[in-house]
Amino acid sequence: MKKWNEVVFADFPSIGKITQKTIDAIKGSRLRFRGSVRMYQGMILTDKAYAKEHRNAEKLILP
Amino acid sequence: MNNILLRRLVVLHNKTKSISIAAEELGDQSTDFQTVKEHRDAYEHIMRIYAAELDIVQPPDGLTKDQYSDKSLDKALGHEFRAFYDASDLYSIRVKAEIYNILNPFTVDCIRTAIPNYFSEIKPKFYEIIKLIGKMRENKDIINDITSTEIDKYIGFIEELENIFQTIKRALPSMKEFRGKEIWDKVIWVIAGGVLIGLIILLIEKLT
Repeated sequence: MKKWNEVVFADFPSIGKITQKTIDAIKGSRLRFRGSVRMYQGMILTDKAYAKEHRNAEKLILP
Repeated sequence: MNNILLRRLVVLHNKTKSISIAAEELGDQSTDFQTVKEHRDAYEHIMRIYAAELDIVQPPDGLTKDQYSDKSLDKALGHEFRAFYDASDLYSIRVKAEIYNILNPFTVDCIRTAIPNYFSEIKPKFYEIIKLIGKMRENKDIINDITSTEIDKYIGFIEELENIFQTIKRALPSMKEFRGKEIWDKVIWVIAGGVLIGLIILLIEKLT
């Protein structure tokens, strides 16, 4: 592990795609961490779910 | 530190926060991680500014503290704008679905009565805003070229979208009331028609 003052200009690791596996991993660790309740309940859109919600909304034609 | 940039950052952050909260309250109430990630990246640049300001590190590339601060604030602003876009995008698609769900059960007459300017103004405006948000999506990755005037313009679109959504939500009781009248009118017409047909049959029977 690098020292804290050596990482000031370093970037965070890439998050990559948000998949169901990501959500399961977050939900699995909820007992050990405190943070956003919504997140730890797994209420996060996966990339697929986001794209689906987008497609569905685009298909809707308002009266 | 450049107070104008800092102020812009604070305002944009909180507008995004407001949109995020509103988007989370709609649909299945899930959140979009991309917005959180962009906020984290903006925070990272602010930390770098303070690391330089507090002499924890030397600004890189031979920059002065002020130059580095401005450059980092610009980068933070870029991330904040991407967060704003992501939150706006989610909000706009959820608002569209909500508006559809509100209006879909009602007839054109019903909508027209409750919201007289829906077809002439609100609906065209809504689609115009959706189109503009689409344009914003295209600009997402060239964000550093976007001026504060454009950011204000985009914020204005979202505010207009919110106004449209609230107008439609407020009209819901009127639409329900009008639908009740429509149903009652239909019932009266069916009864009147039945009575009329009955009278005609009776008249024919008497004449024959």
